[in-house]
Amino acid sequence: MSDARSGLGGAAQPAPGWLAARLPLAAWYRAVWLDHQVPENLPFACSFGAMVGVALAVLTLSGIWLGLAYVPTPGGAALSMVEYARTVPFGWLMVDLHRDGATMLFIVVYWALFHGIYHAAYRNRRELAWVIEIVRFAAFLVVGFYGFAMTGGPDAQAAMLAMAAHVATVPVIGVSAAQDFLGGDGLGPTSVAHMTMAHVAIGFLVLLIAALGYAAVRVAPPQPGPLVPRAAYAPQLFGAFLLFALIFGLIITVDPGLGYPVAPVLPDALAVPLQSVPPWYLLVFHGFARAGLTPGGGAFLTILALVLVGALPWLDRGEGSAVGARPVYAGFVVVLALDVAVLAIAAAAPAGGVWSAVVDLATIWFFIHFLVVTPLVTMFERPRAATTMGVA
Amino acid sequence: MRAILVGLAVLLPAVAFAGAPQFGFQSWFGGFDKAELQVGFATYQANCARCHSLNLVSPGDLQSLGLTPAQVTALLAKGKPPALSKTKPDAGGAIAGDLSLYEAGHRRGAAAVFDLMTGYRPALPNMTMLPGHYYNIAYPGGQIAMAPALQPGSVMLADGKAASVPVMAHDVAAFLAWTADPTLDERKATGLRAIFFLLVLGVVGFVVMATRMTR
Ligand code: HEC
Repeated sequence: MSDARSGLGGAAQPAPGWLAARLPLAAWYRAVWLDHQVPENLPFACSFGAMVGVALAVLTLSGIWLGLAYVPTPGGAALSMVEYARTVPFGWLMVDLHRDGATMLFIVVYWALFHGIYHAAYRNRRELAWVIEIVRFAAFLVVGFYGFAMTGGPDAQAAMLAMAAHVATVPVIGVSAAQDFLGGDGLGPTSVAHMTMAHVAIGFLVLLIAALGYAAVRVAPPQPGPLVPRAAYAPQLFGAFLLFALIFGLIITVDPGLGYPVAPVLPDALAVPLQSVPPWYLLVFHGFARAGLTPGGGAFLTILALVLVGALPWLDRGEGSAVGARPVYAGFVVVLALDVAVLAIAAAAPAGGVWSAVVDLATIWFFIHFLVVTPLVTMFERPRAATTMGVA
Repeated sequence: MRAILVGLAVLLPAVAFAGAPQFGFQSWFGGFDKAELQVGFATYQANCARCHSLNLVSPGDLQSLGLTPAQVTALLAKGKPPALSKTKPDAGGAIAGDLSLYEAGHRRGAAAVFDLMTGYRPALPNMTMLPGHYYNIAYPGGQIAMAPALQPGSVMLADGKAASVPVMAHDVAAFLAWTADPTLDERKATGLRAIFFLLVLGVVGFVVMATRMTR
């Protein structure tokens, strides 16, 4: 008992409280977050990236709440959520928090990915942290897809069938995996229950992956240059939270469907969508699927794209990582971001005509960027002197 | 250059919205107009309820249209109001679907219903019409199995005059926007309060932090 106090050389350290002596939560929070040494002049984007945590908290809590009312059957999926939104006080808010929470998550995640690529966030022993971030991103996409499938309208049913066709092209296990995915030989009474289970299970797994990723960043050596504890970023984090919450609030207030129908179209044998359009955050991969021509080709391109982004620490042959040190490469990264935006827009357009050609070209450039541009440009561009650090 | 931009900024919306029916609730922060909704409900009762159900609307919901509890009980006392009938009669083989969520499933929402209601034209001489179909310029393919439904004189306005067809079309479209998204008003009011709260929180937060740092 006495050594707890005398062990610190008699310094005026207060005795730990009952809880702190048994489960030092506050001390962990201090050590893991507040006192973590980060570069002094981080851009605002880093604080905005931390809002992934807020988005995940909103999604998890509203998701648990909605799960209590959701009926995972072909006829019940859409109807149960519509009735919940209309009849339960603030039910609409739960639905919108979840639907638009996904939008907020992907706004932050896509922004953080761009920022990470632009600033070479995988440098300085952060390769594994980067790979985990891409795995986390892939898991977000999977959860997002399952969530879309769970909405139960004709679009969602078409998407489930398309995804089963993708899965079936995997060699050896594909056909039976596709049947497992749908819970039978086609859409059946249990299909939606399968989607639900996967959405929930992977949804919670994501939290674990996110924690692992943070742990990997946490043990990486501090970035070169002057450091400050993260607590110094409280004003920036506050600002980032405000920005996040304002965008979130504006979306829910003005257009919770983001241009798509606000309520799901109830499944109806007569209403077969000509082309199913997924939520915006899946559009890039929808584009790959279209450019891949066959289901197998689409699945291959999607997986290849994720693997290539994850392999950036090794595709990037150069040294420099700091802002402005590699202007040519930075220019190409911006072009990549534009390319991805164009791909998403084109993928949402009706198939055929000019837009199909745009989908193909944007897809081709995406892969050229990673397979040709990145290795060559980073190999030959001489980095200027590093000035500031762009990532924590 | 600037004049051109300003001109475009004025002209483009003017062109885009010319002739389109105005629905206040389609603007960023606008809500439903109760008087419109009531005319729309009356129009629906008189002209559509015969064929189309509204399965997701319960009698109690009608109170938020401004109907008094007494009016709702009176409606219920007359037997199940046709507006809330759960059956779907069909007209000549074509199915008259449930309209509760019709507008929620359409990008153009209320404007789509307004255009459909006012889109009937006499069939052109060179057209071969399917039996039991009517020419409607707003319907994909131009031939719809629903006869023009809005009967002039079927709905009385508060001032005692009969509602014209465009007025009925407009207000029934607004009413169906309400059935598709009945919590719109509550959502916008709550959202605006939240945004206002965040702005105040932001100002207070930054003032506090600024004073702490200068000290
Ligand atoms: C006599 C029965 C009948 C009445 C009355 C009627 N409808 Fe219809 N309605 C139909 C039928 C039948 C269809 C299906 C038409 C088709 O498939 O060609 C339909 C279709 C529709 C559609 C869907 C069009 C689409 O895009 O597929 C809307 C919207 C609609 N009606 C609105 C109304 C409104 C509003 C009223 C009242 C003003 C009304 N209807 C009155 C029979 C009726």
